[in-house]
Amino acid sequence: MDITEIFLEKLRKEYRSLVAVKDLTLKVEDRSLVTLLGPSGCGKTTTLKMICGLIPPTSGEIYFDNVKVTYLRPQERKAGLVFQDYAVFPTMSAFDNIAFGLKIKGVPKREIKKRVMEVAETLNIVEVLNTMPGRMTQSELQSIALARTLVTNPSVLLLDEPLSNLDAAFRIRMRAELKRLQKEIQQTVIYVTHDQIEAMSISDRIAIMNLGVLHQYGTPSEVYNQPKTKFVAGFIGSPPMNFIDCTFLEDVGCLDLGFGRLDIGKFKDIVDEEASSSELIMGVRPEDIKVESKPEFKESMEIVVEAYEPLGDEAIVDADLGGNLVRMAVPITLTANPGDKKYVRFDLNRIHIIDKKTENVIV
Amino acid sequence: MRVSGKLVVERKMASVTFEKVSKSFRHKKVLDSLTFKVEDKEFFCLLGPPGSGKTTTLRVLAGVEKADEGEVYIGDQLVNDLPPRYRDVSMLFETLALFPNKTGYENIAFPLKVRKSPETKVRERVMEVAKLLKIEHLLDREPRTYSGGERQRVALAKAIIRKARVIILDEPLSNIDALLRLNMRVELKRLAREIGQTIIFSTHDQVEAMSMAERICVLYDGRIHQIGSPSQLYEHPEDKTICKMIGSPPMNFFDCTYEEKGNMAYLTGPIKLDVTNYASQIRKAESQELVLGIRPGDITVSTEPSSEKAVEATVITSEPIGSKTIVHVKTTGGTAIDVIGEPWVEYRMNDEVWLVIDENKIHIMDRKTEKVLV
Repeated sequence: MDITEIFLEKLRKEYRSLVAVKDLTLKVEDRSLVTLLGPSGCGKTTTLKMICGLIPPTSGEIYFDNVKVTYLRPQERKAGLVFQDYAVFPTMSAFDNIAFGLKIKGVPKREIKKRVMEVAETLNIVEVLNTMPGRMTQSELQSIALARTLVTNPSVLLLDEPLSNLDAAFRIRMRAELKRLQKEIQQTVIYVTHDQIEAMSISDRIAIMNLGVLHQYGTPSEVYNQPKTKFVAGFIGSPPMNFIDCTFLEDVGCLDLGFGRLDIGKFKDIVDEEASSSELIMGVRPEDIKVESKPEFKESMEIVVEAYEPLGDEAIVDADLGGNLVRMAVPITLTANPGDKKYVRFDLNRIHIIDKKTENVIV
Repeated sequence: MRVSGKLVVERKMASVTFEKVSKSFRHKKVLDSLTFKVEDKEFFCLLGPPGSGKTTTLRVLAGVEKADEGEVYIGDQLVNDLPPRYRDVSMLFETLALFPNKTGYENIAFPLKVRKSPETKVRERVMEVAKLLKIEHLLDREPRTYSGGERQRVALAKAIIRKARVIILDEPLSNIDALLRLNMRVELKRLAREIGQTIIFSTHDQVEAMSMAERICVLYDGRIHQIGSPSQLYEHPEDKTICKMIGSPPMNFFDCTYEEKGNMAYLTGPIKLDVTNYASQIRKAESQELVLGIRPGDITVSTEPSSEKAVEATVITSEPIGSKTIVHVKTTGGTAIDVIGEPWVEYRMNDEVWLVIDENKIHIMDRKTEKVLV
């Protein structure tokens, strides 16, 4: 099998005064699944279109296996794009749909049949090959759209929000299916989505973009546990990370949270050195706040419960902490009513300290 | 009753009772003999997928749709033939229905103005509600300048301004983005507590229903499947529909057969379990054909055979989603199971793992009737 490694070098796209993608440098390793993740308008789809050659970049280069393809036409670069709405021909059977790409290339009939059957077997759609698209389920349509691209043997498969048309329960099944398939056929895939859970669950690595700028590129574990900017910290994870405005008290090495003080001990020096001012933000995930009914420890801080949301096996306690709505995930065995007093503790190893001005994560 | 020429509905208990209410559109029965009671001041939810009859139920209560059969009571009053405006209910539609050419203030004040309340009273009340919903700064602006969340708040203010006996919210959080929805959930809950009125809302999102409502009524295909508190629905579902609908990721189901050997009772099939403790309940089933339901979170997955009962399986894929990992595995017999693993543990394709099922948390259903036995 050919090796496909994709390298984007300072890729840039401008539309008049708008910079849609700003000097993006990214390396997609062979046989890996990389997701471009971000809210709408972050430049992820523009990037995808530049990779497959539908729009030319303003500057920068694109390499497939060290070969420059920046100005090659789409059909010359072997990138297979699957559209969001599948774009399956309604008047052709599944077989004809899948065979279409090969037919117009003039591949002999026997060869076509062989390759279509091969792909159909991998995707488990052999039984529907003679069916018309109008009679297919969403998952079958999706598989046909995928098969149609895979059959042309692309060096990279590009997927633009492939699961966004499906209902919630089905989406969860399909994303697991896609992940299994990608590992099985060992195909390099670039995947675009705005759904962070989808990105986390499916990717080898995630590139998180906002307003055309790449904020972080890393494994799901890296972007979740070691976010580099406030945007990444807030975008990844559900319910999202809590942000609490605080002030750094240099002389005592504490964060003044407004409702209590947190001694940051070992992080004092690094905060001292790297923070642009004493105005900081403490970021902490809902599951990383310890909530207790009694002030058992000297670092316990008192909070007043605003709402209690049971979710089955766990619950979310909401409280106002120093003017910020803070969510805490607790086991369902801990119950609370609005107005109740509870006590919270923060684990130093599970908090993030963010520079309020630059929005970079310091710790 | 009329007091000095004005119609006044006596303000007392505002419970809502549906007695065998049915409704059909052409030949399609959309509500099939619904019977439920919403207590005074309760925060009550109708949960169901699209097309299950939630909106129709709410419209029947508001009076914009008429029931074919059955009775609808608000408090002790039979309201079947009472026109909407005399029912004293207010309804927030899914589309919010704000007047685009009126300011926030005029929109919120509208329900009082059409009822000819004196201007000073209207102003006082609008200010009160605006403060409650923290929208004082939006009163002078028009809806087109609002963000999604602001529109939602103003529409809510309009729905609660009148202190109607019953407040109806149809899919109140469906039009806003995910993050805002989390905040609005808390806010709606706080609001419900503070205004102390009967509120009925509908949603298709089980998380929304579970997190907000005091009690939930699950509708499916126009029929009520279960009414209960969030914890009742989660821990004691009554039929397979509830099992499927509540909880995420969804419950695993396995077709099993019941067998007795001497004093012992077993489930055989893709998963084998000793169910001697549940034998008396299982015998109530119509046949030996059962369905075993286990939530992904009630199965522990480990990389070593941790106990005698551990079931051997191989990993198909795993999905790290932050605070936990969803692991898709396959038993040696080929049965696919979803389980919850530790966060940030790597479960690679074809890794061997062992599963231990928490036998206190299993659900056993009759395959034919789909009723939960255990």
